[in-house]
Amino acid sequence: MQRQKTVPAVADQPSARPGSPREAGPSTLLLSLAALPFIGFLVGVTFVNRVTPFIFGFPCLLAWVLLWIVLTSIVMGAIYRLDPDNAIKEEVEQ
Amino acid sequence: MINVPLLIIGAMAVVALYLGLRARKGRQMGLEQWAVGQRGFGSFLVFLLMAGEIYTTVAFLGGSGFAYGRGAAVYYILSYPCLAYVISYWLLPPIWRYAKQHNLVTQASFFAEKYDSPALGVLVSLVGLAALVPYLVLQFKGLGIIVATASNGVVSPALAIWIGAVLVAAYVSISGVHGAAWTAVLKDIVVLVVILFLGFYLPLHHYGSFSAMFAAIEDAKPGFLSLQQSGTSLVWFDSTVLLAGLGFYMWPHTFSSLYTARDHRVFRKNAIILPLYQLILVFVAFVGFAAILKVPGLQASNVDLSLFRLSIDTFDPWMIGLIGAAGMLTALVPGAMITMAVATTVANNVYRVVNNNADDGSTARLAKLLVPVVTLVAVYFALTANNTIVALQLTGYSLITQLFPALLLSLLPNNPVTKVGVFIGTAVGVTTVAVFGFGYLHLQQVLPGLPQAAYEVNVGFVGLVLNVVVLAIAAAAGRAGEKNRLATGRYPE
Repeated sequence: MQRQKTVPAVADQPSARPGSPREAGPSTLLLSLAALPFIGFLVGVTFVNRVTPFIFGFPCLLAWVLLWIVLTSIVMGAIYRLDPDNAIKEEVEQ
Repeated sequence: MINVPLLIIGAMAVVALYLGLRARKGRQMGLEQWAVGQRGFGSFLVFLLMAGEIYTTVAFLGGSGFAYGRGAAVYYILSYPCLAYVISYWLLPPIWRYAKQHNLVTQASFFAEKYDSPALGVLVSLVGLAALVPYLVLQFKGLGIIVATASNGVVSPALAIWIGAVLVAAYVSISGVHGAAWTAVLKDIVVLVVILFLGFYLPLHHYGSFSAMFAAIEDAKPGFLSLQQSGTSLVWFDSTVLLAGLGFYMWPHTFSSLYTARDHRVFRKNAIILPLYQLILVFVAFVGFAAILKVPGLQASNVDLSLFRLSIDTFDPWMIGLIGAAGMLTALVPGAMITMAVATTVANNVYRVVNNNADDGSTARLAKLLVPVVTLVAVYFALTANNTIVALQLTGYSLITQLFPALLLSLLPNNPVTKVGVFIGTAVGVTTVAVFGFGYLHLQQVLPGLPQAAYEVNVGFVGLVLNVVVLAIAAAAGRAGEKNRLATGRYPE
């Protein structure tokens, strides 16, 4: 019963997605870059979960978190630069 | 005698109301114009609407209160948005494109359209409401604290909540998202200045330098500035950061604010700048840290007062007024966005499903009529609730992130899960949160004997895992059914 109902939904889907340029998905390089902040924030903190040594006067863990906020911005900048999708669009604009 | 802080806060409220009402100028407020600004907002307004999400009372009072009460646990507020921004680079453009193609104005419509199921739209609406109401409540609760404390008790929290609610209802009904956008500009400017000032001034004034402040805290409370062995532990931190990072854009009002964009490129550029923009939140944590040794002894939900208590001990009344005004704006703007999302969702995704004949005009009228109703409900809870601000926010996140797996799957070229699977998965996740998160049951009672760390996992994360398990089973079942159909050559009609 339930499966019957779902068939139209599945059949509708292709028409709902007219040829998107990013169908191929992001490359491995971009995804590896994107994984870095996750590793930094989720895995990295387990190694630096301490107050001392103070780094530039900041407790160790806080310094780590601040570092990764800045690195996240840099990583996203790199992804933006490296993503061929953005290059194509900018050419079209000019 | 003139109450200076109250005067300044009042003046700022008038300016906010003026901006909010003026934003309507010369526009016919149809549903699409009212709710998503006819999809015509440039990068600046979109940036502020979406970035503004992090400068709410959660950040302002909750952040400093949490730093004061729990120390290093507050770093979660700095961390999870970063993960959300990384995801946003790929997540937001396809959502925006699809919403534009289908003229969507709410988050629930996105699910209903993708899964071809108005019923799923209703479920998503309900999850959204369940998460948004506590979130709206905490904005009003924050507002009450701010005005009452800043005015030195002249205005009671209850009265402040009522006045704030009337302001929000007025400008949201009249100007919709345009009103919220223009007050967001004012809010971000005022709040940034105030946070930066407090974050620098209070530690330097009371301790001489940042490092002296941290050293003093470490002396008095060793280990407070690292995550604890139990309670707010590493496991808690990781599960909370991941949960909130995934859920960041799942809030119905955030989701629909991305519809306002004129162009999808803005989302990708935002992903580069936003981490730095929210770095400023660290100064909120500094305020809370500074308060630890200077105004000790605040307990339970009173920790949310730490910023104000320390400020009152430090500054002249006019500065308290300015801080109060900034705080009021952090409550009003998100309050407006949330109220609007709730009203639009109920009108568009619940009322319309019940009453098939409703056209755009009557839906828009109903949405606007619902604004005061939603506000009243939130006022009621704000007057009765007794949780800390951060606790309310995390409850909301636990619920709202349950929508993330279904959203992600719906963006795949071939979604392996049907609406039935999504329905069950989401329901399982939300139920888990409701049962364990609201304290009806504790995980220890159901699964005794696990290592202590297992009980420190954020309950929303537990729900998310069960949710994904259900979806995986549904996907596997779907694939088996597909094979079966291919083998027999029979398709159900």
